[in-house]
Amino acid sequence: MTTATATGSRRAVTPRPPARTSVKPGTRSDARKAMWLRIAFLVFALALWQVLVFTGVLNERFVSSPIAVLQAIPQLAVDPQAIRAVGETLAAFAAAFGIGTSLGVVVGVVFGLNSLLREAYYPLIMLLMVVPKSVFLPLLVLFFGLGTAPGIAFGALLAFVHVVVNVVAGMDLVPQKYRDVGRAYNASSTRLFFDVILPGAAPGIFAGLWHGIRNGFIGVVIAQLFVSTAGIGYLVRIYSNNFQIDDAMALTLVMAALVILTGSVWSRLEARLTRWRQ
Amino acid sequence: MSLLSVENLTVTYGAGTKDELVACENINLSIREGEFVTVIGPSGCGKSTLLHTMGGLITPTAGRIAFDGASVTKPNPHNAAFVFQDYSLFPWKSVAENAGMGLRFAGGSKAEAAQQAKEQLAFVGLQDFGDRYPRELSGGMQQRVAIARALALQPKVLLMDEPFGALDEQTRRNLGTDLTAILSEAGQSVVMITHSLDEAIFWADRIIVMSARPGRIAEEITVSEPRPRQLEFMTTPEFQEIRVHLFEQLEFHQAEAAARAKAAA
Repeated sequence: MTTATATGSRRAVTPRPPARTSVKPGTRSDARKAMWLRIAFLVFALALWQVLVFTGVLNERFVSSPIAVLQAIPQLAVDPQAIRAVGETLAAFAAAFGIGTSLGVVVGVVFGLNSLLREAYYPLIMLLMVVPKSVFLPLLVLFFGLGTAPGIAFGALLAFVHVVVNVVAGMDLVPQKYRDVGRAYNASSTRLFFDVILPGAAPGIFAGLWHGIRNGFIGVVIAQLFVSTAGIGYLVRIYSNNFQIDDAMALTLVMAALVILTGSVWSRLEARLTRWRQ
Repeated sequence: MSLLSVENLTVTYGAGTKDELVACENINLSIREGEFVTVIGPSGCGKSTLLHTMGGLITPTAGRIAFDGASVTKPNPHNAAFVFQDYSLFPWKSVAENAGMGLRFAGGSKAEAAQQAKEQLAFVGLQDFGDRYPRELSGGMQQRVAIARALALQPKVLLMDEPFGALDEQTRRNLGTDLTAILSEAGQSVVMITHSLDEAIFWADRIIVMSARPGRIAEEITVSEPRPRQLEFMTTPEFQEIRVHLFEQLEFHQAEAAARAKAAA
């Protein structure tokens, strides 16, 4: 305790830091239990699927089986067509994410800084947000043809809309008191932007980037599933049409793994960049 | 000599509209070099408006603010630096960065800001906490950082808006006695808004009592006890006398405001 004895001395007595928060007891073992429950469910579902196929209740021709899907994965891993499809999808995703997210962040930040532009154009973005964006697919095909381009365009569109909405929300969340500090200390608008507004909006911007990843991927794959003649989506469509259900499912699994991998790399990066929040 | 002076100041919000609100009316006040002035008054009496106008954050509707004789039209933290009620430290910056941020905003170089931050953090007793983030510090410690941030500009006046308002009684008192020493040594003039009678008296060379809205200066009380003061000062007859007087004054202004609100309704 720093008391009156400090009065008159050169320095105030150094107070102790508050104890760092520790993990609540039981949390770890709860997480472990939850994991086992999850695994048990998955094993049960897969076993049930296999048994239903085995006993002839389900027709393997239409629904495949866990063992068949598992067997299909190593074959796909060396199938040049599948490898090329994964490459095409990743490339299209990178392009869609890059275009949609960068435009989205810029537009979101501009809306956050300029209330006139926001008032004028934000409703249009909200309109885009509510319209099911798949209605644009046929138009995009007309504009961009059947190759990878419509997938990129559709992914970019989806990413853009979601990024803008999240970034604007993030900009709104920068507390006025931080801007007041900037003003009281005569901060230039550049300093204010880089030291206050941008880091203050970081949670929203990061959420926006994550939505950009997710929606960019969704857009690319949906476009490939329905209109493009390239990428994983297209290949899944071909496999399904040819009743290669095991291949279709194996490819779907690969796709899921890719998204999960991207997600975990992302959340690691985010945690590093926003260390101050933990 | 008068350092910062408030001349015939009136601040009206929404002038000319039906929501017109006179926050401060015809206020005259001058702060001398090295003087500690506390401002107390019923809530909503325009204390904060007065302080913000003195710091150049609000433009006067009538009258003017002068610093060393020159009109104040925008914040100049080298003259008068703010300490806010809720610390307002940037959670994404380390304690040392926060302490240097005011100077950085005001145009100081990175090296200069780091040097000042280090010195001022040591001055407020937080030399070992520069690498921490604000969330790791207690409220009292965070407010010290905010004070260090203001002191880093070596301002001639500190403008403090209820700096201890968000702290509990115990922390307030400890921080209060520590800061008595710190601020006396730093030698700045200080204008501090407070809700606490004890704080208003304990710190002040001069207490400004404001009336309910529209805020006017109702009374000025001089506290003769030399600073820095020990906690024992609070038990002296002078302290007690002023306290009783202040209490009655505030009750009166509060009751007056309530009666006026009732009449208006």
